[in-house]
Amino acid sequence: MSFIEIVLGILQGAGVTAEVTLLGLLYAVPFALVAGVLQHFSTGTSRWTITIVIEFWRSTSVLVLLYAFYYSLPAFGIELSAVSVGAMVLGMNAGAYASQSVRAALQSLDRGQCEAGLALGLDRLTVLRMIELPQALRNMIPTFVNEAIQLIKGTALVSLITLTDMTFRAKQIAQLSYDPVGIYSGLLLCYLIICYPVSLLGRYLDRSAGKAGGRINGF
Amino acid sequence: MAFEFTKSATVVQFNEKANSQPAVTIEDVSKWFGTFQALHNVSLTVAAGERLVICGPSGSGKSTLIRCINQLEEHQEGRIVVNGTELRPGMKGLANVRRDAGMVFQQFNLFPHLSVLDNCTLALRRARKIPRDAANQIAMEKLERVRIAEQANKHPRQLSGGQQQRVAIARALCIMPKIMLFDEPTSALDPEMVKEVLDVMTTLAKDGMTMICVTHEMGFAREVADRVVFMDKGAVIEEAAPQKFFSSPEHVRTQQFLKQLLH
Repeated sequence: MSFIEIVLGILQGAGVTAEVTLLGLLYAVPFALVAGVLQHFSTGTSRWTITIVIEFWRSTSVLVLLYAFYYSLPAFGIELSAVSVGAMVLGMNAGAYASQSVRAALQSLDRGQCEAGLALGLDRLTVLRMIELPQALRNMIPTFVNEAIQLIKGTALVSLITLTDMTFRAKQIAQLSYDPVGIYSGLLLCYLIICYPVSLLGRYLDRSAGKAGGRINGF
Repeated sequence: MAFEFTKSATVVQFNEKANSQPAVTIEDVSKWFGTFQALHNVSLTVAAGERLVICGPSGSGKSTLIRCINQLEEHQEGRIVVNGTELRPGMKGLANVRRDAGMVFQQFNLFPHLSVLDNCTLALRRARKIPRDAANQIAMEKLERVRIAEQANKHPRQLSGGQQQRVAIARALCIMPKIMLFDEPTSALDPEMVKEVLDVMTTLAKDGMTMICVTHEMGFAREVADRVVFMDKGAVIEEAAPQKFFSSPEHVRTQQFLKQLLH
């Protein structure tokens, strides 16, 4: 097999990689926002609860979680498809990481911003929605893009729960033709082809947010 | 002795203003930050239309006091009544009370992600539910009033400190406050920009706005204030009309403070 054929063969799995990534983002983004905001605002028991949830997803091995959810849950009568398990585990893991940047970004905002909003007679939720989150999210664009790229690369693990993603395709091809050098450098190239544009998109978003005046020296 | 002076002054104020409701009444207010007592039984009454300047050394509690008036800080003892509504920690409708008092901060605290115009219209649109066009119109009026309407579409960081502070004043005026609170509005400004901000404040005062200003601008106090209050170590030490305050302050600490300012 020529190198081109290998790469094209691997890219047949790109659809599954993209599917798991996009579904994963559907878990990651809301979880990161909700968990980060809750952790920032709550105190006492509710803060403990949200911290435990975040730490569960953040401090456990993704690989172990994939096996646990995919192979153990059926024993309790819960059957989830491999795509669902992959998207959920990878998404919640990325979301838990990103939640910490949401919290940090909220905490690093000048206290005067919130005070100015309250002094204008806005309620706390409006201050969060209209003043704090827009600024925090702009500052977090680089972190969010990083997390998204981590998520894309992390999808390689779903090949271990039967999904035919790019990594799984590479292993299939490896069994047909003995060419580890060609196949695995082809796989590397495929992840690069997908991740680099995301990285460029992130830089573009970051710059245009900066232009809109969101950051110091941003104009 | 200082405390007695404050109390009797408050009583006199009450009798004089018996007919009209005072804009702000502060009675025996104490506040602690942890174990540090920031305010000691402070009593103060501000009549509607009155211009009050509060001065004192740093750490004297003057900022804390003005921040208690719109509950950015909660007081632990005493009563604060703003336009007839008593402020209580965690009270309902606090946002409504806050809308009666416009606040201008030392560090401007403009919203950097919004244009000058949107800074001014945010509260109108989100708290008062005024449609965008009408809100823009009100905001432009206020920006006109602080003579900065031509910068309406810029972002705060594109403006100088003095311009930013004037926008902050316009933003506070947009909520149609009955009282304006100024917390050291010129302290963070470069010297050459102080005047443009004080000019705007003087115009406001001449238009009859009730104002409470924490400031060290003694020229402004002399020209604009009806009454000057001197605070030290969390207590009101002396309050007097500016002429008397500057020419013959009664208390040693006031004298020392004024002497230091002049040097």
